Amino acid sequence: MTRRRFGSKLFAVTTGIAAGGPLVVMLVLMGVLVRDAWPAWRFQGLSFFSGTVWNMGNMYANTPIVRAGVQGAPGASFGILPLVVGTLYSSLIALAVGVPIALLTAAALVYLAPKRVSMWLSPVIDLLAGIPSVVYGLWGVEVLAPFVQSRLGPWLSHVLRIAPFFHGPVGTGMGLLTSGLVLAVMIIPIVTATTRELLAQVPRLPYEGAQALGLTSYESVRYVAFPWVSSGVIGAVILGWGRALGETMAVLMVSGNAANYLPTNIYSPISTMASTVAALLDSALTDFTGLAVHALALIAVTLLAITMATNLLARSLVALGRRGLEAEGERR
Amino acid sequence: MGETVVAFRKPVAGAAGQLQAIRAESSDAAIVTTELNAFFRTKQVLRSVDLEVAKGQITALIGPSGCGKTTFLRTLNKMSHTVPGFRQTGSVRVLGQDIRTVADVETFRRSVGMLFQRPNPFPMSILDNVTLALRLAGVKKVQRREIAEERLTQVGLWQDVKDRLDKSPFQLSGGQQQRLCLARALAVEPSILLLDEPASALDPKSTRLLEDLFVGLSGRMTLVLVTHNLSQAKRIAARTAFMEAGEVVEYAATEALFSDPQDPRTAIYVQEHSN
Ligand SMILES: Nc1ncnc2c1ncn2[C@@H]1O[C@H](COP(=O)(O)OP(=O)(O)O)[C@@H](O)[C@H]1O
Ligand SMILES: [Mg+2]
Repeated sequence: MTRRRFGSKLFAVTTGIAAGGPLVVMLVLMGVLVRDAWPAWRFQGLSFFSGTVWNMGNMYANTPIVRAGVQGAPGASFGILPLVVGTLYSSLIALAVGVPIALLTAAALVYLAPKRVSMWLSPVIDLLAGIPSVVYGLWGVEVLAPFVQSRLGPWLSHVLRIAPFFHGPVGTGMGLLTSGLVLAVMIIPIVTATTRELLAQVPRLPYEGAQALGLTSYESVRYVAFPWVSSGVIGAVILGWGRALGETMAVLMVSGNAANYLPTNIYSPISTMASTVAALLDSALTDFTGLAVHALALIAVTLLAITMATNLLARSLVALGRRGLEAEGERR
Repeated sequence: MGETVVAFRKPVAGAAGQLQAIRAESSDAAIVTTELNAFFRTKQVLRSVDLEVAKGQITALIGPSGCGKTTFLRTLNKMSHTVPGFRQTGSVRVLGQDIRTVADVETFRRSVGMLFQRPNPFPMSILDNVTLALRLAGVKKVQRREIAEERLTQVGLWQDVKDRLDKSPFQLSGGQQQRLCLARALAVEPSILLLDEPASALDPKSTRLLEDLFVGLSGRMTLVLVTHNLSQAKRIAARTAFMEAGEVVEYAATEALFSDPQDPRTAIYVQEHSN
């Protein structure tokens, strides 16, 4: 009796710890990062987000400058607006290109492809999701960037010449568009695989009801199958978005490594937050005041905050959409 | 209630000859199958089925489970044809047209509605369930709304749902959900309704409600009812077919089939399943 009670207590405690684990890890991570980033925040203030100049200053000088009680290298200035813009724009391009392809592929795998085909294709897609990002980066450098430079870029610039952000010199092919496309290719497998699993769980009966009512396969998938799992699909998209926001290596290789430059068109070179942290860590470590490393930590905090904010935003959009439920009575 | 449903044209003097010609093909039978065989890969599920379903009546299909009733029903609206490995030989004429010559299967299915063994509302509001097909067909919003009210009234659901049209259908009881699905099917004005054990998941009261609706619809519409409930067939079907192992063993007026079966297999089945 007491042994059984003890066992159940133990079970409750261990499962409690396990369940609370992720939250604790998250909080500890946040705490450490914020503490590490704090001096940079005091030194730079709000202009950290609005400033366009990132300069770690003269790191070999002997006398530091002091601002708000924090020492920094002479000439140091930490503005990350171009990084934020580069990160958001490239990830949005990735979503705009990748999500439709992923959703269509998933729908095709579940509803159109013969069993044999999807049985072979599905594992291939899972495999693609596991390829290291440096491989995608290399492909971006060697195949995609030249293609963007010589064909896709000139063509887009011509076709969309009235749309300001799409018209302009195409440059080297390394930049926003190529980064967005590499990211798209990287998120397609994960979004496809997740959506495919979700669609496979949609019960057969409502789908058949739609078919029997004279809906086309496309309409049945669009209006019955996808809404059945809509919140899960949004989750899959957020997963992809998070991956695009945080991707480091592949983007570093194809972004063109713009310094202190806000993109003027879709071909402009960019830098993203994650890739900048990776690229600059080495030299930041040589800052005799230590401030540059704190500034990189603040970039990481910002990235984390953006990822969480997009997550929340997307989820509340879903909740809003659910409330309306596309009811004709409610809409205009 | 039924004003919007197009009634079958009465013969008009003068056009009689022309009508006669149409009649010979299509006016008394809504569905004619001839030597219909159906296969799932190598397995034969329907064997030489010859059946004429009269227009404007309820025709019941009974028989042990696995005998091919569902397959037969789903062949009539070409749903079986979407199953990989399905094959049909022989002919099926629905409303005068051989189903193999149907080019636009979506339009075809709008004239042949279907109700399933379990209610299958779509994941959208109650109202949208009824109006979705209309919306996709390009019917104007005001008109859609009118049709929805009319159909929901017709299936006796309007009073229950008029204050929650924008709510999820999954809160409704099983019987209400099935009637919603009926309203959804009726919204596109089918000439034929295929009913695959539509009351098998419902309580007796909901079952009776549904049966009354079917009776009300017959006359204007042709109904084919698959049922495992023999007294249901007795209550509402004009004619009944007994199937076994993919064959139609006997097909007769319902009373005759139950009171005076000609085939010993029918006699045994009817006896064992009546109470
Ligand atoms: N999609 C399918 N693939 C293969 N065999 C099927 C399929 N659907 C039904 N069958 C087979 O066809 C036969 C008839 O089934 P069904 O038409 O559902 O019978 P009933 O509705 O009379 O119970 C059964 O033996 C069943 O196993
Ligand atoms: Mg069945």
